[in-house]
Amino acid sequence: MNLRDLGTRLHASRLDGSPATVLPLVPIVLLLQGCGGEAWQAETYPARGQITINGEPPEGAVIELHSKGQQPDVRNSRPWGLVQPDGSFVLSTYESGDGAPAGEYAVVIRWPPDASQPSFADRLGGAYSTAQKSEWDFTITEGENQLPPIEIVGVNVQSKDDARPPQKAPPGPAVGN
Amino acid sequence: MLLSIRRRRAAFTLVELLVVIAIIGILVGLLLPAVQSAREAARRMQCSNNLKQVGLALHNYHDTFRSLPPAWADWDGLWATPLHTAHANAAILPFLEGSSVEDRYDYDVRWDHANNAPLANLMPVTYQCPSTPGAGEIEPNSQFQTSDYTYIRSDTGWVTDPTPNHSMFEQNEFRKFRDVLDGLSNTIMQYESAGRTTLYVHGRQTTAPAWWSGEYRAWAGHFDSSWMYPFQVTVDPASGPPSVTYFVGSDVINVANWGSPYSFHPGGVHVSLADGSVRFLTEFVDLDTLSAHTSIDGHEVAGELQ
Repeated sequence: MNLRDLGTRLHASRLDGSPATVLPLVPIVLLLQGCGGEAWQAETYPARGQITINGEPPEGAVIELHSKGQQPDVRNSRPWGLVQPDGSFVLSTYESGDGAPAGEYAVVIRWPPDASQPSFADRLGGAYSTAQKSEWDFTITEGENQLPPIEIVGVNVQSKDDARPPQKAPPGPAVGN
Repeated sequence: MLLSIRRRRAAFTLVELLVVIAIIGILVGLLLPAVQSAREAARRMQCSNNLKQVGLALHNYHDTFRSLPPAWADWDGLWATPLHTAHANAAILPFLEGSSVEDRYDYDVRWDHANNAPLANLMPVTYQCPSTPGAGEIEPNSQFQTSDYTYIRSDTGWVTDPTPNHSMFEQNEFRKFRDVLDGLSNTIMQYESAGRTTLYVHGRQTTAPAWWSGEYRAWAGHFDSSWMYPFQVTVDPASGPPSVTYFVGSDVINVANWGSPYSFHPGGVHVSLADGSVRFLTEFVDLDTLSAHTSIDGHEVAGELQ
């Protein structure tokens, strides 16, 4: 609503003499001031997938998508998903489970011993931890996306306790203690 | 006849009054948000000036002592060789016109030793952002005030870097400007991590995790420095500490304030670069561009921070 419309309505209301048409406009104008919205965010489309490592579902592994072509949005977002006990994952970009913007992505996989703890350890030894090392591509299209299943075989999986951070990580805690 | 006209002119009708009130209401409604944003803009300017002052103080410290002070001093040798010195926030006080406060600081003991207790609420106002609710209040663990600005102690490429020690204030490091091969204009020195008297997650106060001790939060604490990383936080509805998924997604700024970039300015945080300039970093900054600016010698070809 612009000011000219408002003026017209005010004028009209004076003509018919009824303030009842004017007063409801006040809260509407106040509400309009508060409208923001994350204009930079791209449209996302729901996407889910499935992964096994050596035939087992890698519970707690992190799937991250790095765009290969055009940037999905201004910050070049990386949609991600946490692998569930059954090996399935749902991608999120801005909100939990909102999917991913359409486009071409390289799939990056890390398997921290516990993603709820700040740790750089990777049970896969960093084998697929960067876009350069990625061996899979996902294409997100408009609408529902069922991603092709990822099956990794013959890779050395370290136990939770054996997984170590990269050798040259700096001293000190990753975040806190 | 004349008299009756005068009487009719002497008063407004109810409708006229209501219309006038409605118009005034609309005008005030239009004006109030503008006034509020003008106030916030002024606070933001003061905040950026604060960071500028601290940046200049760091430069003057460097001119005097030929290196920057460490912003992570591992006094007890928990992760490195013990380093017995003060945190940068205390060390640069003489260059912020705070010599009288610095005179009371005992460099021979830990920051939280009884000798240094008088400094708990002597933090210079330059360390406070005017937009932060409760700026300058004390922090519950140590009874010290908290600074709204913190130092960068690791670069964001930590996971994939072949070697450590790439950030401006690496742990126990007395950094020299000559080591900054990316150029002082391309390297982040400080950033806002505001309101650390309480834990904020996406603008809501919540329970702090146990590891977030006074050492990380107090303005003179030896571990008052952190780094920028993507993470996801969900507030626990049962008032426990929030659940976190570390190092996933693309959300870095204004997620939570345990040393991560966080401010009460709408849409982003201030950062100061090593050349002393201050930038406003939006929440949708490109992770690669941000990462490039966190390292001193990554040789990245990075776009402008925005």
